[in-house]
Amino acid sequence: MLLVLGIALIIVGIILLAVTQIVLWRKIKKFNKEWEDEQNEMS
Amino acid sequence: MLFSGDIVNDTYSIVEEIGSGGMGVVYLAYHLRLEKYVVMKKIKNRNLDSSLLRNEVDILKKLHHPYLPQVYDIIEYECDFYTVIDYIDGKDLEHFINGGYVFTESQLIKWLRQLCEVLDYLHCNNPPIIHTDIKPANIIVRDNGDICLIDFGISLSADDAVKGYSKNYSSPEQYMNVMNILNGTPEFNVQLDGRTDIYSLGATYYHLMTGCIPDIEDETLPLLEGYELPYSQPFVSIISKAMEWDIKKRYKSAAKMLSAVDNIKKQDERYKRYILLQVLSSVVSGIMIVSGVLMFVFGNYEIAGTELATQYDLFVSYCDKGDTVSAKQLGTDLLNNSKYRNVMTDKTMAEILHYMGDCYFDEEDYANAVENYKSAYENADDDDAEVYLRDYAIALVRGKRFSEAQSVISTAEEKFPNSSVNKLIQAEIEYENGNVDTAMNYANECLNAEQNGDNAFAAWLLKGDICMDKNQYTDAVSNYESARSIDENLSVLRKLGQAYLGMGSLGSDVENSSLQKAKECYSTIRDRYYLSAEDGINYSQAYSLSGDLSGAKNLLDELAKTYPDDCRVYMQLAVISNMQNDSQCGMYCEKARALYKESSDSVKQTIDSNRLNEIKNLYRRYLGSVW
Repeated sequence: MLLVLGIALIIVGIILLAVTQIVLWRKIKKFNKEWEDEQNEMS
Repeated sequence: MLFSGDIVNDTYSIVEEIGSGGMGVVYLAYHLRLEKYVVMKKIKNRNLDSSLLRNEVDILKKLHHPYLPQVYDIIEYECDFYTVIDYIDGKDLEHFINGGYVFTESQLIKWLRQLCEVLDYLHCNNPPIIHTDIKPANIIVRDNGDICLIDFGISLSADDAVKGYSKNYSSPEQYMNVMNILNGTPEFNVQLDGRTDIYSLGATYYHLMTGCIPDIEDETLPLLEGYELPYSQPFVSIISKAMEWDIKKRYKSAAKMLSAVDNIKKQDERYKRYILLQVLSSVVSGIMIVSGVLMFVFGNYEIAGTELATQYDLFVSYCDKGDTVSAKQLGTDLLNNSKYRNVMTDKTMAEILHYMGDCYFDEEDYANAVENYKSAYENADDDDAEVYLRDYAIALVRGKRFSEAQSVISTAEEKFPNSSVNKLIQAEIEYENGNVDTAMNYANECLNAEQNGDNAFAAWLLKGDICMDKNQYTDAVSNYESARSIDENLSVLRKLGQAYLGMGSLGSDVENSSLQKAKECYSTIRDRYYLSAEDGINYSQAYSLSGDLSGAKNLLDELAKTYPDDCRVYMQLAVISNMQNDSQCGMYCEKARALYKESSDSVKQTIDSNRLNEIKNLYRRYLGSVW
C-alpha cells in the first residue's frame, strides 16, 4: 500500500511541478512582454 | 575677484562668473594649453591648510568616471584657492523642474541608474567620497542625454559640513549634524556614509516626480505613495526606500539600489506573485516527490519484511516437518538474498542459522552443522545464546572435534556459570568417547540441575540413546517419554517409535501394547509431519510384528508411491510378501536389488547386515540366482 502510494505521490508531484512551472513560465513571459510595452508607452 | 579676460597663472583665461554658492564663486574659464573650457571654483575659506587642500584635490584628480566632471588641479592666485574642474555643458535638473517638465519613467530610470553607478564609484573609492550635496541643481543633463554629477565637494572640517548642506535634500542624520553644529554640540555628530547620498538622491527624485520640494522640516510632507503619479509601483517603491527616515531601512549601498533599479520589474506585485507561486509549487512538489520516494523505500522495506515473514514461516514448517532438503534450500536463499538480509534482524538470522544447523545435524552432516551453529551463536541475543552454544558444542562432539568442544565448554562455564549446559556437553563428549557410564552420570547431573527446558530434554534423549545402544528398550522408552513430556517433536517421536518397536520385538507379554504405542508414534509422525522411508518401514514393521501383514503391505504400497527409488521399501515389501507367501516377492527382490545398486552410501549404511542377507536369500530362493 505504502509502495503504491509512494509511486503515486512521485508521479503526481512530478506532474504538478511540470504543469505549474510551465503555466507560470508562460505567465512570466507574458508579463515581461507587457512590462516592455508599458515602458515603451511611457517613453 | 576675477574679471572676464583675466589670465590666471598664465594658464586660465577667465570668461565670466557663472555662479556663486555656499562654497564660493564659480567662474567659467578657458584652459589656454588644453584649449577647452573649465570651471574654476573659488574656495571660500581662506584659512584652510594648503597642504590638506592639495591632498584632497589629489584624491579627486584621480577620479575618472563618465558621469563625473574631471578635476584637474588646485591653484593659488592672489591668496585665494581655486579648484579647476571640467566644464559640463548642459542644463541642470532644477532648470527642467522650474520649466514644469514632466519626466517619463524610462528617462528617470536611465538617470537613476547612472547616478547609482557614479555614487557607487565614489563610495567605493579609498577613502570613500561622500558627495553630501546631491540635489537637482547638481545634476547636469548633457546634450547626449546622460547625466553628470557635479559639485562633490571638499569637506575638511565640521564647518564645511554646514556648507555642503541643502536643507531640502539632506538626510536626517546630515540635518541633525548641522543642527548640532549650530547648537554648539558637535560632539553628538554621527559619521556620515554613502546612505546619506542615497537619501539625497531619493529626495531629488521625489522633487522630480512630484514637483514638490521634500523639506525635511515639513512633518506633513506626504509619502511618495500618497501621490497619484504616472509611474509604476516598483519604481515608486525604490525611491521610497531610498528616502527611508531610518537609515537601517534604506538601501545599504548605491550598488544595492542600482541592483534594484536593474531588476525593477521584479518589484512588480504581479511578478512577485508569480515567483512566489513558482517557489510554492516547487516546494509542494518537492515535498510530494520526497515523501513519495520515502514511502516507496519504506514500502519496499515493508514488503520485503512481509515476504521474509512468510518465507520464514515456510522455512520453519519445513524444519518442523523434518523436510531438511526444502528447509536447507529455503534457508540458504533467505540468508543469501540481499532483499531479505536488509530487513532481517540479527535474532532472525541467528534462528535461521540454528535451524539450518539442526537440519545438518539430523542428516549427521556435523561439519556443516558446526558452521551454522557457530554463526547462530555469534549472532544470538542473550535469550538464545546458551542453547546455540550448547548445540555448537554438541555438533563439535559428534564431529569428533573434542578439543574445540572443550574450548566451547570453557566459554560456556564463563558465560553461564550456573547452567546445566556444561554437564550436558560433558555427557555428549563421554558418550562419543564410548564412556557410556560416565556419560550417564553427567546426564543425570544435568537433570539434577534442570528438570525442564532444553538442556533437560537433550539429557533425557541422550540417556535414551545410551539405553538403546545397550538394547535396554524399556529404559529407553522411559527416558524418551520423559523427553516427550518436555517437548513432543519429530525427533523424540521417532526415537520413541524405535524404542517401542524394540520392546515389541522382544516377544514379551506387553508386546502388543508396545507395538500399538509404536504404531501410534508413527501415526502421529505421518499426520503431523511426514513419514520418511525409515519411518514408514518401521511403521510397517510394527504392523507385521503385531500380525497384521495386510496392514503392513498396504502401508508399504503407499510408501512405494512416495519413495519409488528407495530400495529399503522394496526390501521390506519382499519380506512381507514372503511372510504372506505372495509370488510377488520375487519381483520385489528384483526391484530392491536394482535400486540397491543405485543407492547412496548413506542409504546403504542404514540397511542392517541381517536384513541384507535376508533379502539376498529371498532373491536366490525366488529368482534362482545370486544377488
